Amino acid sequence: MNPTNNHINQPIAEPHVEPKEQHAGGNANTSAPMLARTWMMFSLICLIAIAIIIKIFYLQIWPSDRAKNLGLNYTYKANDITPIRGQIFSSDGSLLATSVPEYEIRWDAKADYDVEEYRAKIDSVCQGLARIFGDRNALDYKALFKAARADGNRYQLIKAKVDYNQLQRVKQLPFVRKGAYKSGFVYIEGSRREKPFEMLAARTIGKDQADNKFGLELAFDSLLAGKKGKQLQEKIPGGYWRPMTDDFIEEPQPGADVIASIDIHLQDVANAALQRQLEKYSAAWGCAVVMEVKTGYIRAIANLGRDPETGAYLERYNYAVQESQEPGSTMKLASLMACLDEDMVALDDSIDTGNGRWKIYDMTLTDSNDEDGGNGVLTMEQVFERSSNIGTAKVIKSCFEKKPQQFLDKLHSFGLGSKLDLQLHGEASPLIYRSVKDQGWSGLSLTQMSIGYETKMTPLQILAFYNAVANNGRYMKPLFVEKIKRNGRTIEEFEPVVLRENFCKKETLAACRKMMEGVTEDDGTAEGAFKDCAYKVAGKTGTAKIHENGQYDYNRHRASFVGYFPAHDPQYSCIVVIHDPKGGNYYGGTIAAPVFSELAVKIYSTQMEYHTADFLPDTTSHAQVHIPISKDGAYEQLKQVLRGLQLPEQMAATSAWVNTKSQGTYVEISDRAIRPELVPNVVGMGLQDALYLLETQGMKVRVQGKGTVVRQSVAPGSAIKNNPLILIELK
Amino acid sequence: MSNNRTHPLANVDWLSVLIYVILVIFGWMNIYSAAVVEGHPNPCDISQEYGKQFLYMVISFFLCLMVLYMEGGFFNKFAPFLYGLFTLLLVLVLIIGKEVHGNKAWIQIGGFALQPAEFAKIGIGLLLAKYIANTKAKFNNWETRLWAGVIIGIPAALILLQPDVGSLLTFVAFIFVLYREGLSGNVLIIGLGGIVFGVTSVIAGHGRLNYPIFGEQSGVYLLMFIVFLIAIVLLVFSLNFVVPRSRKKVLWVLAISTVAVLMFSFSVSFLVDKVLKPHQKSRIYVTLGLEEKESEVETEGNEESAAEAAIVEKDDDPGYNARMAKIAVGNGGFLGQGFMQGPMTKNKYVPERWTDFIFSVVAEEWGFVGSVLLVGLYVFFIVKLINMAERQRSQFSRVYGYCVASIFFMHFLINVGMVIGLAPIIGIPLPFLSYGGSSLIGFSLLLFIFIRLDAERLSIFK
Repeated sequence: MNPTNNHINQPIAEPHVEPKEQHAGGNANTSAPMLARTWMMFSLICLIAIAIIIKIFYLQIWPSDRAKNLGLNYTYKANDITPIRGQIFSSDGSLLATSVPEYEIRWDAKADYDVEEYRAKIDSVCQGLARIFGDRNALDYKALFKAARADGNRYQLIKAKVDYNQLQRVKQLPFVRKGAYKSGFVYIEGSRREKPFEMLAARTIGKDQADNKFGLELAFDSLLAGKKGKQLQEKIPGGYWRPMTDDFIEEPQPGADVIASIDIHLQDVANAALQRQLEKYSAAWGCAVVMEVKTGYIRAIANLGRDPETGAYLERYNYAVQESQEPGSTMKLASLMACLDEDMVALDDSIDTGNGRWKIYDMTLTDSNDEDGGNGVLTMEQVFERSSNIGTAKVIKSCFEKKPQQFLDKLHSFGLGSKLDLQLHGEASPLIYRSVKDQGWSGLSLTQMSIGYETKMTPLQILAFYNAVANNGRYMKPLFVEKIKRNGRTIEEFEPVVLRENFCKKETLAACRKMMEGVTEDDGTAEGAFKDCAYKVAGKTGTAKIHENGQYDYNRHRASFVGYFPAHDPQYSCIVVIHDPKGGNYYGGTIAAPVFSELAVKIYSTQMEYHTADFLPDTTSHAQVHIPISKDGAYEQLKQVLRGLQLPEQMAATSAWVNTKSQGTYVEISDRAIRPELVPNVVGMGLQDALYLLETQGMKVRVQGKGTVVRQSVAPGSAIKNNPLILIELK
Repeated sequence: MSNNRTHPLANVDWLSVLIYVILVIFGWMNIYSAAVVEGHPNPCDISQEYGKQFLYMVISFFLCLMVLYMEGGFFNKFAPFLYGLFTLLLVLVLIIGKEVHGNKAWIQIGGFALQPAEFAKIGIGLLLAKYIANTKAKFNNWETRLWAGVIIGIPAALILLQPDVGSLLTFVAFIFVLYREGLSGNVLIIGLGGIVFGVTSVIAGHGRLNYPIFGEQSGVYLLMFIVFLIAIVLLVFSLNFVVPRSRKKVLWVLAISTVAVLMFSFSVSFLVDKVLKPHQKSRIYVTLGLEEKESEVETEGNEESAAEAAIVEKDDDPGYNARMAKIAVGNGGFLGQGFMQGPMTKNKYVPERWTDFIFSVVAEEWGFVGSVLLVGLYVFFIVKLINMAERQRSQFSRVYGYCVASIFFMHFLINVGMVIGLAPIIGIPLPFLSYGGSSLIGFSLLLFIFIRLDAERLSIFK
């Protein structure tokens, strides 16, 4: 063979056809058919590689196949695990919204139960159901079972919205007791969102129903919902899935807790005061919002509207956030502030308001006392305190008639025309002309705007403006949520947000605050309302005619009061709006200011920081003792611990097993009933006591978690011999 | 001229060596991810699988280096001896072997177990190459076919006795070699037809039909009846349309093939139904999509039996491994869950994930991108080996190279196919990636003997 024949390394390039006969030489088999065979092999390998890649593509990328692969049609599959939704707390730690387990009881008519036994016992089952739920009688329940049997229904709904205790009772009924396989009863666990304080701030806390989401539940939905996990589950008869192991393929991330800024005590006060006033005047709706001056945290937000059918006042709509209306006289602060800030007038300038009627173009402005001959000559300060429309309009007209755009720019520079970018969805936009060229602007607009018409703002936007005055010109963003926590750890904090710093001159601020303080003094529009108040309140009344269907209704009004307290050191700002009160009385000073006043009084009496001067720390007092949380359990041991720590206890117990409750200054101890042969209640106990109790009662205990028992799998009081195995969950 | 030896490492195909090193180290990483135990984070911890694999890697590297320094002629000369040695081990394993999962495939030596089947392939490859090179066999006569059959058949039969059907299946690789060396393509076509018809028979045999007179019997009889009818039709057809001169020959072919098909169909069905162990049987059914439907029907129909089915141990469920592996692969997505982050891997859902199911770990943690890169690298490697085989001047080297490439190809095809659901669950390793001393050392030697032979290709003049 020719050693220089190197091109055998390139079999493709081998053109010569070999003779059929055998021949010597290393390249004997690199003949044409052999080359074809090599290429066949290459093609085969490539085809298979392509097939493999396509299959991997379908398994990993192609959405429908991937989902199917991960899920459907298997006896085992990776199911989504929806984590527990986070809770909403008030800033003082009360639970505002939480999820509680709720069950559906269904029945499989084709299950493998003993038909004879079914016939024998169905009547007592139905009586039991009727007794437990009390919504239908036994015959109605029996009809359900009969219908299910007739239709062969494998998923007959017996009762929805069953709570845990009811479920435990149902499981004890005859026949049902036999268990899922032998009775056909199945229980579907779900959860229900519950607001422990029911209506309090309900509109702000919100809802998370699939078709009806709003409030904080909507705004913080993704955080509250957590992240779905995946768990490998196996199919068990009846089409249900149960986890194969405790591990997750993907750990579900439990929902985070939202700590709202709402203070449940203030909320309670605001709600009650508002409701009383609404009921008294049969008003259409009202809202009361309390905001912390320095931080902007909303401490209370009550929105009550009258149910047209029942007449009851309910949280129907978030008026404070979503209802943008003409503010009326509360706007006068902004108008006069514009003049003051431009040094166009001073507080002691005098204005002739005449006889209470002033014709401007084809319109007549009136003051509230026009029938008594009006106010005559007033100072600027008095114009504000007595809320003179004519005085305000005249001042604004004289200052800005030549340059109305400057007035508009000034209002916008106070932040009045902008949305607040709230943490809640659905904030209504304020309407304030941006330019005199805007549609709708007329010769009347300047004076109308100065007294709060031709302008729309939400109660919260007005409050934010007044709050800025109280806060020395720092315009704070109203905040509804303080922080987000996960597993007790803060993961996100919402620090106070300053929207505008120094939004007017210091002198202007001082003048404004002086005018507002005058409102609650003698001759002010709210003079009567704050007599009971221990400290001075500064504010402004508002009484706006209701504009509906394109015209003003001169007999219907919206009364409001907005301000802050205490006047010398503002802590809270607050707005109260009451829409369409009946009975002839409609002034902000008489309808809305009393609610404000009640709030101010109650807040004073509940908030310690206001009377720090009266409060002398007493080192011997029990109030200084921090009472630790004690677990329920064996009394003798508990007694030793408490005595050892020299903690005061209040004893009401006579038995060996007790409940404890950490009261403010002592530990309250009460009996816990433990009866032989019945499953004891170990919830609240530590593991040691729980184990001792259960095992001495002859039960087999399985333990999950650590801490204090929060749940036990067998209901207390049921007979032990039926179910000696119990699972307790500690947290 | 052949005495004029250059440096032993000259002409070594370093690209192949590089791919080998990449595959082995990547495999080791995935074994670590799949088997890592809390408290044993050291990847060289000898008490854990990954530590052992590290040891096997060191041994393999050492042995490979040794092979590279040896003379290629040694393997030619001692091919029969090596073949005999490994065959002897196969005999030995039947006598003193340790039984695992019903298979006697392991010889226990101290703390380590040796799997002779992994080494038998080297012996067959060498001896087959020597036989073909010495006789210039082109497999156009029965004698050469018979001898090749004997060389492959003796170890194959011994492996069947273990019984290790998986390893046996990889011996199909040698048919590719014979095809390359001249075996008629008809043999392959008959083989392919056999597979198609075999699968049809298994499917038919899985169902039970109620026949007139004979009552309930296997569905395969219906298939055989249909084949018989077709044969009759063809007979009538050929009697009328085939020229008389060649009619006799056609009739013979028809008769023989009809009988052969009928016998084949019956024996496949009989083999699956009566001879195979239940778990092997179910695996075949699961792969053909027969078994799953069945259990699904049960779930809908009879709750009692479905409850039992759900309670059966996972190990006994033939579909379990396949499903877990597929879920793991699907879980990978495009970019994968990340190294050591695969939940199916971490939570130990996939059984045998560091041995036969190592590809599921790759797919879950490295995603589509990683899987395709690995498949691509592997296929490139195999194609490169075939290319290297084709450039040999010595027929011995070429045939041996083909054996190496074909064995890797079969393992790759069956192993990856099994993980992604293209092939039945057959317990064979993915060469270089799966955990296992015997397989890693065996495949390393298999490869490096060829790399040694290839390095000497220029100094061989016959």
